[in-house]
Amino acid sequence: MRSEEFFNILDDMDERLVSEIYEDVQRPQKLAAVPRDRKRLPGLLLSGAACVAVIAAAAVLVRFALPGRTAWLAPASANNSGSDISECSGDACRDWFAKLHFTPYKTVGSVNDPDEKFAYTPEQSCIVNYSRSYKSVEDNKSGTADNSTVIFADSHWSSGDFEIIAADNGTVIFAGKISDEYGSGVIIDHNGMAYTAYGSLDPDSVTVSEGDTIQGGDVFAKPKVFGCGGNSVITILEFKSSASPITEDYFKESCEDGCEFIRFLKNRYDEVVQGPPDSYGMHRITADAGSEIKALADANEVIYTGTDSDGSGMAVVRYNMYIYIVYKGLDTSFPDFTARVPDPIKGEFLPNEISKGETIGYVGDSGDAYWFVLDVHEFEAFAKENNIATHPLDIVGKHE
Amino acid sequence: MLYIKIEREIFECADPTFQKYLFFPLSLIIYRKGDVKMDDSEIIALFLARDEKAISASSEKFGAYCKTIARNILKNEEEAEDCVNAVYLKAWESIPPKNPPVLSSYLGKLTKHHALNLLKSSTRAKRGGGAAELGFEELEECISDKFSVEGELERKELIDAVNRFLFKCSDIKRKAFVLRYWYCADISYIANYFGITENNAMVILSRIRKKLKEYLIKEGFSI
Repeated sequence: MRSEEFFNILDDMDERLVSEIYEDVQRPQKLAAVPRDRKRLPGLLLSGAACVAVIAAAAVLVRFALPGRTAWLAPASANNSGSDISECSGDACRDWFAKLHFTPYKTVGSVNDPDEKFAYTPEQSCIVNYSRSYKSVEDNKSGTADNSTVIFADSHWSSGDFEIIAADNGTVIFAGKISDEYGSGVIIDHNGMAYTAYGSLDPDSVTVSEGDTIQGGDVFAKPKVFGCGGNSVITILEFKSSASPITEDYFKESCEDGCEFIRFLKNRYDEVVQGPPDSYGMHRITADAGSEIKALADANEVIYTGTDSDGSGMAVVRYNMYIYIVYKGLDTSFPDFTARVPDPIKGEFLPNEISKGETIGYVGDSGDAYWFVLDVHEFEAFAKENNIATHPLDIVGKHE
Repeated sequence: MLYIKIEREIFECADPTFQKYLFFPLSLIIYRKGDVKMDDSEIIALFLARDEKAISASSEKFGAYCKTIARNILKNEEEAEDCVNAVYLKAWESIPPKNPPVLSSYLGKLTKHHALNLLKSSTRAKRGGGAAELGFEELEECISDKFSVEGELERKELIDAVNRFLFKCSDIKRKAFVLRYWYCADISYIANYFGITENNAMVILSRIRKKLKEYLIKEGFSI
């Protein structure tokens, strides 16, 4: 096969893959680009900040992952100071990174490789994700490398096992409560080289206040716990270079979304407590027949409404590119039940979004409704079993 | 309205219990919904009603998008502009009878095909440019001359396998691949898109091509 032929075959790539970056592509690229001169000139600082971010992430990862083992970590100020980085690119950066003795854990990817940025504990629980690409709330720009977010989450450990440590030497420029749900936040200025923001902290545990100087590795807070299927911890860290210092406003913005996110998880937790899901992760909806079932979250589209193998109603929404939520046991007599899926004959087209709280359907006569989440791979098998088209376009007719 | 996009990574690395019970966004990317423009269905309806406003509405909504694709291929602002205008005409001629379910995709493909045709007939292509810049040759790493697909079924199987592979890829790899081989973006565009160096972008693409080949072999294709 000629490569050009293969290139033409790729033309029929899945619509979701192409449309995923539709918004970005039509934007003039200068908005999404990192100015080259900005990258070159203070490249040392930016790449240094990125390295500090990764190292700090790994440092807190190890600290988190080894409850009770705190002595192994060399004083952070000795190795973890951004000002000690003389060069942070290529092999020099990797060598420097290697000196930090994160040997108990396998770190996938290197500092300069944004390709893979995950650190795994030996148990393969993912607790760190270092992401270089982002979209900012303020200006909808994307793709800059001087901002990264690290979120720690785990469903097994309790907060007593963890302490939050400073990523590097610095000065506390903000320490205060954000909200009941979001807990407290702390922002540390690392000598103007970088800023780190720590969210979702236990308000009672924060030991620093504005103006305090702090050494890298110093413990200054404990994470706020909220339940998600167990004693769970989530702490959000934001790293930014000096080019875009973090201010208190950061928490206002992230709280707007973060709180919503936490609320969402808490709601899910409450449901889990009410009735533990079975082995397939199904969540029973304990309500009388005819009770309204609302969408759990904003979803990109409703891709299926119909009956499942036992004849009861079923709705499938595509939450995002990878995640599907299936609602089963619905009442098929609901007049608008089948109207959720676009019908091109009626002039309806994708996307068919659904908002959180919008009615998905009603509990069927059996009074036995439930919902569960599938990822894209599971969904393929599920769709096959239930004779559901896996692609929305399969439902609305083949694209030419 | 703010939306929260949940990254896939959690499902790739969390333990199974965690996966089943939760979908934690490990990386929250917040974005605003774009300005409200005419709905796709409304534009299609204009096309179907032979209303010339369909052209201006398409231009307003998809102009920048189509132009980016044309510019990626033609590398010339003026030619890209002409190409996009020609695409609106093609859309006008083809809808109806066609009734594309996703108008952006339809116009995007029309733009791509028209721009590629223009490129083939251009002097740049005759000088040997064009194809190489668009990454045709790079794809030789994925597939050999001996391999062939016969019929629509085999073609569908192949593209399905590629889709499955891309869905499994990390965010950056998937987007880089789509940008390069669907949107025909050049390396510098991809580098800028992710805020990485061109060398890094080439390495990412090289790795994904290699992995794609491995995946296709694993899937039973005699590459």
